[in-house]
Amino acid sequence: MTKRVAVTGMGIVTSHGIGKTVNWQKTLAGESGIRPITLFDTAGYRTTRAGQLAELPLAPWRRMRAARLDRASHLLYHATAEALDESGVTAAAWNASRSAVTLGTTLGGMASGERYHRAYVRTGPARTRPSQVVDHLAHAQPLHLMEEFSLRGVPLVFSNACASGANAVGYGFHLVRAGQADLALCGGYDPLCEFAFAGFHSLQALTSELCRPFDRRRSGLAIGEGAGVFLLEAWDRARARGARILGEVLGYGESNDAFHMTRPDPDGKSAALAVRRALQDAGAAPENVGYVNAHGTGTPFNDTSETASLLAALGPRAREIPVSSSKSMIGHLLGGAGAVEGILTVLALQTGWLPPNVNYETPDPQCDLRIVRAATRADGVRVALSNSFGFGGANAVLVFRGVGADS
Amino acid sequence: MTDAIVVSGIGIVGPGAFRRAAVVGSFPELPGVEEPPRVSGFALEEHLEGGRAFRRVSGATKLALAAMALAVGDAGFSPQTFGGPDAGIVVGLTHGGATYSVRFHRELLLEGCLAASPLHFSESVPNAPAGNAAIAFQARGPVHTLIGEEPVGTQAVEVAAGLLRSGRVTRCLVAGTEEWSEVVTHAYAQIDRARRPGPADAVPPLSEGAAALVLELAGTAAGRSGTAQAILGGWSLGRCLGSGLEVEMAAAVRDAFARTGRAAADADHILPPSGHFRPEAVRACVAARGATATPATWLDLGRAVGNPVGASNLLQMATSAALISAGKVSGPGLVLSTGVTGTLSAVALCRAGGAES
Repeated sequence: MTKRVAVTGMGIVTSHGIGKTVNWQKTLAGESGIRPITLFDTAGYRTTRAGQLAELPLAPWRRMRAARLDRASHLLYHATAEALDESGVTAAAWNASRSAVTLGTTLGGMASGERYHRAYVRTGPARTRPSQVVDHLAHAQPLHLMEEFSLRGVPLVFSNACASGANAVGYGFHLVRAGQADLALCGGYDPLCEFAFAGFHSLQALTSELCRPFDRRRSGLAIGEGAGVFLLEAWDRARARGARILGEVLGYGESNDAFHMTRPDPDGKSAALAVRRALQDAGAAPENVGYVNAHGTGTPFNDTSETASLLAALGPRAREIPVSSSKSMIGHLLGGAGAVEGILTVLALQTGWLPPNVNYETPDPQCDLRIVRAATRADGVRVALSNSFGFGGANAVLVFRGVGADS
Repeated sequence: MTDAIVVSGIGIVGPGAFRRAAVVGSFPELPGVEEPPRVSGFALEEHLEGGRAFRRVSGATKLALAAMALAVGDAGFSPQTFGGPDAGIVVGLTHGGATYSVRFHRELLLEGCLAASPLHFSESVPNAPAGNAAIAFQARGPVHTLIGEEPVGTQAVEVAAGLLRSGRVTRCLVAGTEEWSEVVTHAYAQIDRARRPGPADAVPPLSEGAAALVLELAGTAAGRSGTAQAILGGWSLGRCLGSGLEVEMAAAVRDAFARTGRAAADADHILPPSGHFRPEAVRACVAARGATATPATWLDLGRAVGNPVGASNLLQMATSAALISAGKVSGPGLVLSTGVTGTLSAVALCRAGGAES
């Protein structure tokens, strides 16, 4: 017997700041979080801006030496603390339940790896310090997090590039829905680091202008950083303990392009398969969809492919559904994108406001979707999709429903 | 039981142990590890039709593709017939394409950002082996990469089993892969996790390798006249914080056997942790089996293929499955894995056609 899955906690960190309140305020205001990078020297790069969090305070770790931990761990800590706090789930309740931690990241603590390797190259292997790699590997951050919050279990860490966060949320959702877990802490994260920035720069995927998803003049993406964490819970259990239900995860679909390592299939047929699978999983029809939080990277290839996939999966009605990409404001959070954008989607359903796709000025006939230019009242929107696609052909789609809608 | 998870194809690529025959042929010994503990050079196209298209991929990807091609062929599929929207892939690893990561970063440091190769970046991301495999085998279902310590292989099996049992895939390639890297080896040596020059000790040398299994539900495999070479009877994951590894591992061993209809005492071969070795895991296993246990053959894969970290657990499972399939052992087999932060797993593999199937 399958169970309904409630969202009872959400935590978010982006270049807009730490926490839902500031993020939602700035998102609805259409404020840009793309700013000059200060974390590393950008001399020589075609662009010098990214969605870097202006100030990231070290999280108050009690069991770890905070200064030794990678920026990734601090991002994850802040988002997790907010989600757990909002849900009211304590470590004791967690450990007495069947619970799961599923997180996604692309490169984990790569900045620590960079520091180690820089010393290895410049001063020689003998001068490297092992403490620099303690928090480098991508499974280290979730392990540290669970120790810090006294959460039992083994974390499952997805690294499916930019779909990682959505995959982690989708997997946690399925565990709770199937009754294999009562609670799931799931999400995604990635910090800004030079390795990833240089990588996307080498692929000529970064824009030196504004990030303009779906605009005819779009010229690439802006890298961002952040973390998003959901606390998912079996609906009846959440109701029984009087938890505040923020939204519902209805469905999850996934597929792979099997086409190219870094380029999406221009037909978008596998991404469309993921959308169809998500709707089928949700028991929803295309006409139920009232909003799409798009992957919308702002690269020429992604946005046309995503448009094709939405049209293939939802039919001509896809042109009437409001669509926006949060990456226009906070950049591409890589492994954090799916979870952060999922949270923004739930906030849209919760508040009745659709977030804007800023910098959109010139419609592209190849992206003939109804792009949300400014925050818009979303009366009547009950069900929304959040798309995430990534390197390696990964496609992941989450379906959310607002509370109060048939609940 | 038609929902039993069966192993229908096995691929092994390790130092001194290319193909399952190398493992089966040397039983009850295991192939000796070579120095350096690397997989001898091979041409991917000898194992994978169209493999030349992947000639520029990282070592981790190349090893994974070779192991997967062997497993797919062993299961009676070809790269053309394996794929489809209901075919999935789950890869577990710890470091993945570390050599390309290092190369990309070195280009960045020494030659500047304009000289950094996009190929070295895209092939260094952790899901490059899985992404390339999806292309090679046209798997358009769920394709995942999991990162973790040595027991990540068991996590990959668990994710694949969930995909199979929920009907989201009908066949799934599960693989572990790791390539040898000078920088990773240096870092491990600094934290006493790699053998240093000098007399051999209990810590196996960091090595490289890959293993792949084709998993299906028993009913699906039978329906296409595939051979169930072994059954993944049960598995369990855990983590101990502090000194409780013995207790946690004993619980994991019992839990892994709980669904098999057999007891840990029945295991006739045991593969102790071959990556990060913890003696407590062996003690726990002995305790969980009890004093009247069937005498078992202990197979220390760490001494045979070294420690290919994230690939070690799948290599253990592939070895056990190959030995069961070849009739070298009757099964059940028990595979143990431990990670440095206390993660652990136990997996029970059984003979197909036995009571547990």
